[in-house]
Amino acid sequence: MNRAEFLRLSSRLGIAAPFLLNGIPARASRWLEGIDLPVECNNISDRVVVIVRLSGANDGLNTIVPVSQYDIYANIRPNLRLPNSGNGSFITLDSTLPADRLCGLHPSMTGFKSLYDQGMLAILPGVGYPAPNYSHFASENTMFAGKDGNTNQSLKDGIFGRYLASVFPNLAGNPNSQNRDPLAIHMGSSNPSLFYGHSHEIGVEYNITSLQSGLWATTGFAAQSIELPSGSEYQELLDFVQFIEKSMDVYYDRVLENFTLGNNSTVSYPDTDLAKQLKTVARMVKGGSRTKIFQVTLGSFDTHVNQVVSDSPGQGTHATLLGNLSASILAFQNDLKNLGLEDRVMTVTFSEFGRQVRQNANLGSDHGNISPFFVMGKQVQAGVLSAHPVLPSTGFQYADTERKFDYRQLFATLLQDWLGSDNSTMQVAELDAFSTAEQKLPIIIPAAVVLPECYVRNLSICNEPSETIIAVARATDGGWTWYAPADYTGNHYLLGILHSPAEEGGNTAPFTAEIHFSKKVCDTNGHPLVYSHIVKSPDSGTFVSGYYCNFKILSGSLNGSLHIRFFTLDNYTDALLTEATTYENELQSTAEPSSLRYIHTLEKDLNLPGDFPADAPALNQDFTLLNVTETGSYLSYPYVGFGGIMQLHQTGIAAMRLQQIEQFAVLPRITCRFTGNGNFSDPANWLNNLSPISTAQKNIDIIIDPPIGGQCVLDVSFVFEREMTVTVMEGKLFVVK
Amino acid sequence: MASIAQRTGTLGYANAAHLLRRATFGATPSQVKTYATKTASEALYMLFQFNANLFPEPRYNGALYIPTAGNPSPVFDPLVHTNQAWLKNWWLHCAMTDTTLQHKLAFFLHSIFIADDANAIYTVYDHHQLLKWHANGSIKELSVRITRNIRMLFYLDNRLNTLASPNENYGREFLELFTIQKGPQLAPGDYTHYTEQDVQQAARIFTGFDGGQGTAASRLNNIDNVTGIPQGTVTLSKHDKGNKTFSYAFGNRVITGRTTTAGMVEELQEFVDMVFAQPATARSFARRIYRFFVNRTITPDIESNIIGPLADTLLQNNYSLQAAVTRLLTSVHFFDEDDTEKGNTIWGAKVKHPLDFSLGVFRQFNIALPDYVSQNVANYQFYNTRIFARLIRLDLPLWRPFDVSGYAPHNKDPQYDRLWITPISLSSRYNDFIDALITGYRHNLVLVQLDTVLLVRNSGFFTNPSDNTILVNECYDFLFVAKPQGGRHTYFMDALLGGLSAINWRNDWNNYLATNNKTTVKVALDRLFKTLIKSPEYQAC
Repeated sequence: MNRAEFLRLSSRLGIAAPFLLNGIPARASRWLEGIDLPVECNNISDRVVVIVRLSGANDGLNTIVPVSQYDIYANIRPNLRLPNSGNGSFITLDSTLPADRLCGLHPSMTGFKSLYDQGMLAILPGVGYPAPNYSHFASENTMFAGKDGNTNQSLKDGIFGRYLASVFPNLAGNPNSQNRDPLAIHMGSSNPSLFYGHSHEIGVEYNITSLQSGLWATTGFAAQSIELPSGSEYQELLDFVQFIEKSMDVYYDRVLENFTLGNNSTVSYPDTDLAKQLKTVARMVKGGSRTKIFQVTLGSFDTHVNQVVSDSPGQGTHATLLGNLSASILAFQNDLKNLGLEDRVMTVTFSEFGRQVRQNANLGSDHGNISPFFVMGKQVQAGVLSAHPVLPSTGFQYADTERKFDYRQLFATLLQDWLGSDNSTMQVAELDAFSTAEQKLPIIIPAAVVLPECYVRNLSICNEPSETIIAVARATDGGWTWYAPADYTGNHYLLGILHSPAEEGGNTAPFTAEIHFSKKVCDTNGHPLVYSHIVKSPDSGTFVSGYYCNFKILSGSLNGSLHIRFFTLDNYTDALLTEATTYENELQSTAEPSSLRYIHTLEKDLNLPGDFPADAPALNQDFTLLNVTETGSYLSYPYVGFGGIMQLHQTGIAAMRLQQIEQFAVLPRITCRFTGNGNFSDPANWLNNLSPISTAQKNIDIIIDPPIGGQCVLDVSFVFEREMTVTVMEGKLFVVK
Repeated sequence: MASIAQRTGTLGYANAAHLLRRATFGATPSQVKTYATKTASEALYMLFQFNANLFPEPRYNGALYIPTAGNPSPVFDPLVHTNQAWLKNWWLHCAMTDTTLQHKLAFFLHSIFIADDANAIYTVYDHHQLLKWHANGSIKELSVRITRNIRMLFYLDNRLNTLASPNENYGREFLELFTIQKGPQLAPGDYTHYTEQDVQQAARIFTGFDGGQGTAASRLNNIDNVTGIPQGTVTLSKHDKGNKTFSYAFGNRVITGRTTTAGMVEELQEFVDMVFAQPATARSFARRIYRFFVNRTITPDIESNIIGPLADTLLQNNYSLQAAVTRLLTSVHFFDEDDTEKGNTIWGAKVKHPLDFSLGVFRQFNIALPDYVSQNVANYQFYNTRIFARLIRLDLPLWRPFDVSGYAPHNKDPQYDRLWITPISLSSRYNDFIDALITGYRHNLVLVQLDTVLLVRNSGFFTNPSDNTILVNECYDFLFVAKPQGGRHTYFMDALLGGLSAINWRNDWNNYLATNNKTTVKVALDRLFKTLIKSPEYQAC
């Protein structure tokens, strides 16, 4: 596929464009950077899962022959059976295994044999789920969604969609400077995978299938024209729309950057599409990609017909597929090793189901229930994890009791023991029942299993307003009524209302009003002015608001429109305005930006948290924009004005932000420890050369700890900020010049 | 050579689809099939069968709330019943359910006679009712009435234009933007079609037409007895009663000053007659009609052979919009049959207007929406969140253009409609509509959803869904201007098949028919329709 299709595909997947609002980087980066976690946890933030999807359902029985049941196997598969000796016979994986675990690997899978011998391959025989479904779509979606096959409801989100959205809320489709990569990258199939689906996080999955050929092409990314009657105005228009599509994509440049910065080793990959996909993964990880999950795809496993060559069961379609799989993964592992990445990557195969144990009449096999999964990597605890399922003496499918593993055990293990998800995240991913010690699988070497103290999760969301300020009429001047808190003694106001504008439809009726400002919001993410929710589009996502207010008419009623002025210098509105302007700019590109939302709350007050729920759609009801109609100043305090306000009583106003996420980004608190002897200003006197002067941030803990007999001399002018702590260790000398 | 000669013969499916893409906000396949059996002339007759009874009066929370001449005192609470959003959503509802040209033409008129929605919903309502009233009427008569429209009197300050203190704002925009428009600048103040002198004289004509207070009740004191719509007041004492002498551009015409309020109205009429007698005025409207319905590019050939005759139609029919639009949309030129290569121009050459796109998705799939009266709140929520808020993302801030020059894609040369496509708007077109519609959402408990499986099975349009080739090709007929070829066809086909075989699809479909379990086919069809909507092809009109 060409680049244009790549872009179109990505948008089909719902990748958000760059104008959308950013997420809160503090949450994500804290996890990514391993901040606040013990040192021994740091390595987990670099870890990657690669899913190799065997699309069409792999015939597990011909992938690993249960050697101890060979006679039954040969009997029910007279034409498909792999010989146990001689030409084309299966590969004995490991003759030291217990009898019921002995594996005859398909003869094309020499690569897997090699990985096993290097201690890098774990085999899970008989993986499935309780109520198997034999439709490709239904079964894969059941598994993507983490279900057991009993629910018949429509499935909207997937295991990894829930997991990634929980750990990286609002980051999907909204990369920021600290988290620039797609959360999950999918290639080999242009169709989105429900694995990464989420009910309101859009764009967890980034599909680069169509980018593949372009990435490796020497000629670059020349967009191929859409094929329609040439030279027509219609064609010109399509070309034009295609052109615009190119700038729609937020991840495109970043993916290219990872690819360009990265490289592969001299390892020779097979010349197959799967190998190229894996080669791309290795190169992107090498190039700095922090994407957590890569999914690659190998199709055509739906071997109803001619799975094997007549009289040569070791050859044919299935042999080609398995040979490709095995050799590609071996090359990938060798590449990772040469690139120094092998400790970071865990690879797992996935098949939506297996195939019937009995052959069909067309040298093929039909849809079955369970199949083996494979886990590969340097950190894999190699082995065959269970006995093979026992072949049925009659019938076409394994008995339900022969299911050795639920696929959710595998993914729960990967999410917790490999990626370090805490139990609350496992709950969100709906895998908590499988992340108990009993359910998790020993597929990772103990030294690489994430310690519980290293588990990560998203931060809690606070959702109570911390303070309410009531503004009442305090003065009238020039037709305007100025409002401030009743006990306020200063000389400026929160806002003004022109009660009776001399204009078309202007109000002429007297009234009195008060305005309730609900202040604050939440500072767990480090920004004291921002309620920790995000607007993703005019009607989805959640509102972020530093402040909001509710108007109340105490007496009288309106018969027309009003004007309102908010003071921009005032602390209460300053935050609203600065944080929201960009949002409005983006939202309404042709209109004058407005900083406020006029929220009609259907005859009720606007309240936290009820009107700002954590899940989209928030305030999915009535609101309209307030356009700035004037700016000016009163008593030398600048204001912005809004005209045409038709409704006041039980009307809320809330500010939206944002985009300027960097300014809200909270750097993790750090410690600067003075361990030298001499001047405060000399970086060499600070542990790791990290001095309070050289760091740009203010939230630091300063520890003065010179050696006994030494001293720390404050030799420069230095402001100790409110956010700082200073500790002089007992018995140590801190000299202020 | 371009030809405005009338197309004869029945339209057939493709021509009918082309016509309805341009003349409505989206049509179902069955509507297209109905028009396919008509001639172009019959089709335009049908498209002008306006039926006011189809459209409800605006409501707020289920109750009537706009005082009108017919219903001056609806029971309403001014505290909560004064919201512009409800009014816009009412208009959008009317547009959504309109199978004629009325709302499309009303919006066209709005895009020319620009006024925004500031402040007073009552006068905004009157303003748009006036545009709707003239959608099959005379642009010239509209030009008289819009001058006396309260919203316009406020928007362009003519209420402040008096003998003692003239204000040229409205007079200038009336000539420059609304009607005759500028020609080449021949000398300072001389714009070929008019001069600065004419602006001043026009402003003198307009003195004394003011708006009154424009409140809910007061506006009802002065009703135009032809339209039944409120109009502004006329104040003789503010009127400039002297003679108005126009420039050479208007043959040095003198309009005699009058001394009665009736005379003021006569002066206005005489002035409008003068402006609309100019061929330049007719051509300026003809070009705008052409760009709205046909194509952004006007070649010299089109100027002389399409615009010229169309301007004549306007001049000969008192500027009847119906006459002009009918002539243009029944022409062989519109159907690109005036040269040997059909389909290389005009067809698919326009970007779908934001209204065509946002309303069209729901109209083409015939989605059941909340009833305006019995489910008024749900209806409002639907339009407010699913249409109005998204129109902003599509670069159409409905009724709130940045300034009096209006919406840039309607008039900004040379890009015109292409300006509707930006990274932001295109992303919204791709991401904000079809996914949510297929997933389904509820407004006030009322479900809005596209069931792709039932659509394919029951709409009557798909003749053999088990055959993937027939199915995908019928989707093209349904949604696209032309059938994609080669790699594009493969791309859409792959969206249906998902990498599996045609036989697999046939089995899946037949299995669905046998078991009524649609899970598997739904995955494929959802993917197909999402892919179809999220394509450059679907953005073309």
